[in-house]
Amino acid sequence: KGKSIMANLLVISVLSLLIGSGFCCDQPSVDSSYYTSTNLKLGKNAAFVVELTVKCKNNVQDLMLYADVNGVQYPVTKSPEGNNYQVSWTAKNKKSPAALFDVKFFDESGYNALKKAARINQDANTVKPLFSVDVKHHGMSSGFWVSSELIALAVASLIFYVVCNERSAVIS
Amino acid sequence: RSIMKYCVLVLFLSCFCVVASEESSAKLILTKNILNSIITQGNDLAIEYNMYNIGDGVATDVELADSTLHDTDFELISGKMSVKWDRIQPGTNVTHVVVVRPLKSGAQNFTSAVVQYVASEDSEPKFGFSSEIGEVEILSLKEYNRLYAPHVVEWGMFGIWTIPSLLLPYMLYYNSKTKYTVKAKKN
Repeated sequence: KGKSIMANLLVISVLSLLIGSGFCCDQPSVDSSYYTSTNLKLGKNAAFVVELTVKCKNNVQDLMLYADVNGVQYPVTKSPEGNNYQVSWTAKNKKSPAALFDVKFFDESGYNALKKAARINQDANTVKPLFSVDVKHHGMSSGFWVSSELIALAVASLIFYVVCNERSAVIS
Repeated sequence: RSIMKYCVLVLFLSCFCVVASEESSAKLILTKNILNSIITQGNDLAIEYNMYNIGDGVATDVELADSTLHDTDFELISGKMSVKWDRIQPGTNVTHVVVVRPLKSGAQNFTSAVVQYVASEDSEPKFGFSSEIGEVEILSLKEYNRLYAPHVVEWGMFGIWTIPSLLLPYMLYYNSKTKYTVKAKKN
């Protein structure tokens, strides 16, 4: 009789696994592209946009994803058509230097595990993400690191200095 | 007068009671902002949508769509014009960013985006509009370059044009100097 109970338990666990896998993405293949603002002349606010196309091996549609960027979680938006997802965040009124963002994506259970880890002060890195995407931000700059006016001023002062030197040599 | 005050107070309290007796429902506020401080033709323009759930329930099936950026005026660089969230928890906010490139210069009216959501269970979908940005002047590429480009070519031209006026007197001076020094040596 014990054996049959064990068999029942096994069947139930296998069934629950099967049902569970219906919501969980199996071996996701991810196509991603991203955008980060780089032109400081257009404004001090930086925008970061990551776009993804996620394909699961078990053909799960309509995933509910969360993104984690440096410990801050954002819900991932879905496009009405296809398996296209997008996560965006901004950095306002501050210099956002060049950086490599490791954007981790979690499904619902992973997100809950992440929140639980934060609640009991556990290291968030122990929670394994579904997949992650590297976003390389080149930093915001206004093109040249010295303005052309400064170069012109430097050249003009150099010429002025040389001429002054010559002049004082002639006078003395 | 004090009776009036009491009346107002009672009215307020009853209002609160009405609100409290309702079942928890979500209320979304959508703002639409431009992240750029300069908007120009041919340069990236980032538009940010911020959605706050100020209600006390979860908003489900939230759909945000902005159909005001026509593709005759804007080229889509990154982001989706129409997105959805399964749910937005009360007291939280979500951000969405779209990056476009204006194709035309001149005044452009940025009007509202639309949000549709289910505020509480088995209720009808609600519609809402975002804040409006209003009319914004898009600088032409020529004007933008005049104001903000590094002007390397212009400075280079300026440098080349100053060379004759600097070099000519210097040559004259140099010639007389060499003559003078030669004479001094002979003496």
